[in-house]
Amino acid sequence: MQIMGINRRPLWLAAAFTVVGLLSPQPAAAQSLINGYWAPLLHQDAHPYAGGPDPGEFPGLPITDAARKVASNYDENEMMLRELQCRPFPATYGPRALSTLRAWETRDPETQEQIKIETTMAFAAQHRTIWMPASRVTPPPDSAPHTWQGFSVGKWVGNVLWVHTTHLKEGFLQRSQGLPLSDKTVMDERIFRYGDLLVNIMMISDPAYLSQPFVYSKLYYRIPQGSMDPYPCDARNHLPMPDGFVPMRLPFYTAIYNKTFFEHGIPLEAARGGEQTMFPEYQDHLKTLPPNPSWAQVSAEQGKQRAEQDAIRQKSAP
Amino acid sequence: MKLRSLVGLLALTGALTFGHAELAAQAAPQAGRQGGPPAAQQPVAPQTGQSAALTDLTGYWVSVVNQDWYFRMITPPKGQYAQVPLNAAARKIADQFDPALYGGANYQTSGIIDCRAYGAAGLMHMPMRIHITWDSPDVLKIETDWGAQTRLLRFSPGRPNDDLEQAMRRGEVGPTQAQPSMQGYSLAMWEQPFRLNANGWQRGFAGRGGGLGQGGIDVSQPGGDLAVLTTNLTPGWLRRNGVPYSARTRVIEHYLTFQDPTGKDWINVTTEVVDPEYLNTPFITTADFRKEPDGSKWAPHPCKQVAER
Repeated sequence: MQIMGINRRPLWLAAAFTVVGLLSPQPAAAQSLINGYWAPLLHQDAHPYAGGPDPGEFPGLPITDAARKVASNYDENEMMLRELQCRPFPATYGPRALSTLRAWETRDPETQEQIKIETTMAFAAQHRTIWMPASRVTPPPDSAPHTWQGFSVGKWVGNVLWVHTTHLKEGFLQRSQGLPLSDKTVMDERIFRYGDLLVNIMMISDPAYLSQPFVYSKLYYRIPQGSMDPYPCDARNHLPMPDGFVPMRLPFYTAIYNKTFFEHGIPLEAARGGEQTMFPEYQDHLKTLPPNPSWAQVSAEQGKQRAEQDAIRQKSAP
Repeated sequence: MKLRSLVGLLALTGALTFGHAELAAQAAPQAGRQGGPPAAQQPVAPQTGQSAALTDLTGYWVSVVNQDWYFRMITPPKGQYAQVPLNAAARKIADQFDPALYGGANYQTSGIIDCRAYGAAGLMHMPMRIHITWDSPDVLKIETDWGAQTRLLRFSPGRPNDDLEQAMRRGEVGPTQAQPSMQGYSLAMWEQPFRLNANGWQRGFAGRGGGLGQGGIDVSQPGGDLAVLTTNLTPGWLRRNGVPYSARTRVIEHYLTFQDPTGKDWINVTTEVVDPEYLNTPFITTADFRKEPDGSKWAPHPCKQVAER
């Protein structure tokens, strides 16, 4: 068709694009960069998340004395308690675990705006919801229940997903170490992609047990045809324990060093952790530390403390 | 209003709107993001790496060793190459590491570190401070205190923005004629947001940065990262206990800035090492650096030169 000698079809097209453009949300609507299945890359820090790390092994962690004290009462056999075997993992730990991640989004069917992003981890079936965009979400009151996954809101800044998580239940910084995180913990994340690589920078702040935010970057690789197995947790007796028995260490029990320290050549002072162990000048300090005592010596001390504790336990048993 | 008049009016509105956006994008690529006035009336100078910078990386930064502590802060035990996808030939070389050259019985904590551990493929993972400055408008310089190294990241003159993955696919970047060296030859580019999966509106409309589906750029969006491709390397170490990489290695890095909840600035560096000689798959790691107010903690520590046997 012609309007005054001009083909009308391009005009219709231009008009349609204009209408859509004027109605489209500004600034640009959220992206779906992280949808899909993601496998954790095992090229860094795999040891602390593959069953370890060992109790008392804290180098590179900005923990406080209070955290150290709580951890010193932890017995790794606690995880074998039937009541705790299927305990969920907190959002502060889940993304660091060696587990497949799946992410998907939900959009408003009318406006096509992103209203939430959900993630689930294969390990321990950790399901999390990130409400979008943060500016339109009413946060729960401080008195609202704290949960393992907490309450997360997100927003897109360029290609980076910013996530802020509050209302977390008391949890732990690393598995099997007894290092605590309080229910005051807040986590901020920056999640972005380089091609098939996904980076999640986690910034965990806890006024009770961390002297500064614990900043940790985790890598995932995209699985184009991913799948995820169910996680039917089945509590069973891995260790023979009498009913009502709770593995723990009494306050005097201080020697929790592991043979791994000695095999890795880690000075015992460094194993205590703290923010000073995170910076390059600590390499100079390491030179000044005395050599570790022999494993036999430390092992004997631990055995003595363990015997003392067992004696107290038997004495107080009904 | 008759229908044909309405259609004509809408088309005219669209043309004016997008035409203006196109002009603004072409004439002043930085103005939209920084909120400054458009520079359409002024002569357009060629873009340099410095003038097109998407983020400010300059200053003193300290590496924060919050993961892989055992492999980074101390020298791992001889033969410890966990997590690195080494092949058999590489393991054989790694097993030749001689602790006697690095402090004997105390080699793990002696602080005596071979210079090969500070080659470009392993450098950013080492505990150290870095000082980043503009050496020239198209060359970003990274100096290190531990290891005393200098890297030069070179932008292509007049073309500081690109997409590294696409440029590699197009065969536009790769090894050069430069002499092999520890830090190699590094080509840098600023990668702007939305290169991956933006829709037409986010990329900008026809004529604005390439048109629909062409991966154009919406300069009004915040963010972006620095991408670096390093080639022309001499052999070096991925870890300070002699885990090797070969001269055929290429290194792909991305530098992205962020702030922690206390307002401190950080750089996240993602490093992908591709070595067809010694690695079964690319070796990918990250390192985090926190900004420091000045260079008062700068502490040069030279590395140890050991002749290869």
